[in-house]
Amino acid sequence: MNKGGYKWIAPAMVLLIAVGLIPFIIALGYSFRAVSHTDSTAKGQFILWDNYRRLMHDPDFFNSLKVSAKYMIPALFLQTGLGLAVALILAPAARRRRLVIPILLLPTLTPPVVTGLIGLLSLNPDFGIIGIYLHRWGLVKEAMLGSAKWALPAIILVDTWQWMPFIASILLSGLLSLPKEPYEAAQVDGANAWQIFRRVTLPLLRPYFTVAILIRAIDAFAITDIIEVMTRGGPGTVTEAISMYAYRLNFRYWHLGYGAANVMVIYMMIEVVIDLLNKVLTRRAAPGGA
Amino acid sequence: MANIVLRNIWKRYGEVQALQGVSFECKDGEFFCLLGPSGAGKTTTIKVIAGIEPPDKGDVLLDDEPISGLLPWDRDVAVAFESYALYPQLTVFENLAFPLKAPIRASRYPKDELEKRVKEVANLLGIGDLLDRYPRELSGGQRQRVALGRALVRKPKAYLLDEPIAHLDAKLRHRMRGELRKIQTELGITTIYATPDQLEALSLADTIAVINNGRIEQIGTPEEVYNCPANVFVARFVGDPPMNVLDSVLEAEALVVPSNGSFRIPIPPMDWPLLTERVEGRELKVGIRAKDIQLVPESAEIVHARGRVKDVEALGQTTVITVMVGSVEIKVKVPTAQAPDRDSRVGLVLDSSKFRYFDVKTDHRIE
Repeated sequence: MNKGGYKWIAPAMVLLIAVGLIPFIIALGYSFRAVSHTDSTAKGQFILWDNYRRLMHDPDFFNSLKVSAKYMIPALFLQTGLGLAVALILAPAARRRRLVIPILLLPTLTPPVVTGLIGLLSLNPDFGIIGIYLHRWGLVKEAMLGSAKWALPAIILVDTWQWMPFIASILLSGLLSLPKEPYEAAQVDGANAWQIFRRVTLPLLRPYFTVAILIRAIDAFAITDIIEVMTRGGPGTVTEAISMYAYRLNFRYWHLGYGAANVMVIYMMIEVVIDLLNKVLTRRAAPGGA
Repeated sequence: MANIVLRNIWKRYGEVQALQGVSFECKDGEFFCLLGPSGAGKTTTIKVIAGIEPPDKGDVLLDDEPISGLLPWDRDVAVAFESYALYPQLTVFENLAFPLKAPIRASRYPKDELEKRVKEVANLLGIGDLLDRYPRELSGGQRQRVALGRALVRKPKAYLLDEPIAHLDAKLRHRMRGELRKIQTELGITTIYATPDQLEALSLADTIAVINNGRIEQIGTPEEVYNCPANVFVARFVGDPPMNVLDSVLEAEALVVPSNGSFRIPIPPMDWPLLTERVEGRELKVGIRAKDIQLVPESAEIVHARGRVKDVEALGQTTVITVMVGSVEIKVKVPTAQAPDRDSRVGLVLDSSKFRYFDVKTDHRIE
């Protein structure tokens, strides 16, 4: 690289190092020490792997992993499936995409805290626009967000309301940019609608799926706002996803050492999962890129 | 097995009138060339026949049945697209096999036969060792052969080939031309072949339709199109170098080509009645091919015109000479061994029995 180029990326690098790398290293250091604002025996002494060892016997930690998985997997499938359906429905209105895509993205542009509040209010069994009917028709007997059975599905629903349009708009942009020729060839070759969809459209959309799903997956690991507003991780720990548990450890209990170890483990797990996901999504792509 | 008839096809894309009343008949088993410059409407014509683009007006008949209402897959035609239109995520093998796997045909091809058929076509086109590759890993010429193979792998009622070998290198193109003609003769499948290359059309076609600006200029055998061009456009588009077409004036059994060194050429007696009868006024255009002009020394006994050699273009065995006779440019084809030097003075003798006459206003041939 041209040496003069460094000065152009320097501001960004400084920022990244200041808010990313340095805190990360400090947290890494904390994770090997006993640091806590609420435990008088923790005086910052070096305890090596003790925090990590403790984590391996922490049922709340494993619960948070389970909750995250139970939220992420259905949410990703639901959002991708619905997103694809919406994109396919909207594709014929392609000419109006300057109008369609901004409208489509409105929920995604709403701050998640607001989305959570909207969810909280509309699911309220006494006055929520959805909650009233769920209750009246007997679909859900208890208050949704207070129920161990319904709290997580409710969060998935609200999350989907927010993020499905995001996936739909990526796939829609993809659909609109696909080359027209393979479709003409497929028509002449005698492929039916399903074959065209299965053999031409889906594979051509693959790179767009990859982008959408990866962005969504990375983001889904960090879901906090919606849960915080809607259930605060409850009832009990039923909706306490990994980020919620990390928040509880660090900023409610102030166990900064143990909390740091928790965050480090989560960090590595996210790396592994995203890497796997990336491999799966780009699996069949031949050399030369998508 | 089918004949294809187009009746007065019109097609407009936005501001562009792509086809303006195109009509022709391609007989059963015929090798039919659509010859025209780029933008003439060849691809549109092919897409209209294939059913990819509906015409604004006019009928397409396949086997004497109107097929305007039929969808592309019901027409049973195979298309080799100029833009290749390969399936980017399928390998070469899968691309070639795709038409055979389509639901309306799937039952006809058991797996091993399908494989055999694909390999046959791939080997014929010299892409047998590329079957596992993806389109993006191929060169332009290889992609084009896959596109052609995807059409040839089927035995449809008709092949519609849109400049199917335009992007191959010259040597391969020459070989493929021979192969295509052979396949077509063997199978006897009606073929419509679009090309901007007049040599390709002349060497391949049973019938040529010259198309320009969305209109058919002439339909005929290669000999007819070459020897008896219907108008100045065909005369100049078919044949290389383009036919010399000179503005001239009829004057007592001779043509005078006005220029600042104007010259006279006697007209053969057999043409006199035609010209006196058909030419209004005295002006007309006379066409003569470069090969029908002889180069002689300037001082020779019989010389129709004298000029200066402006350009010498050697093409191996033959050489094309551009001679300036006054302000008129005339192309002459001579054996390379007899080519004069640039800027030398030469005399020209025109073989007046090969003259073709064109109306000065309409550009139509006078016959």
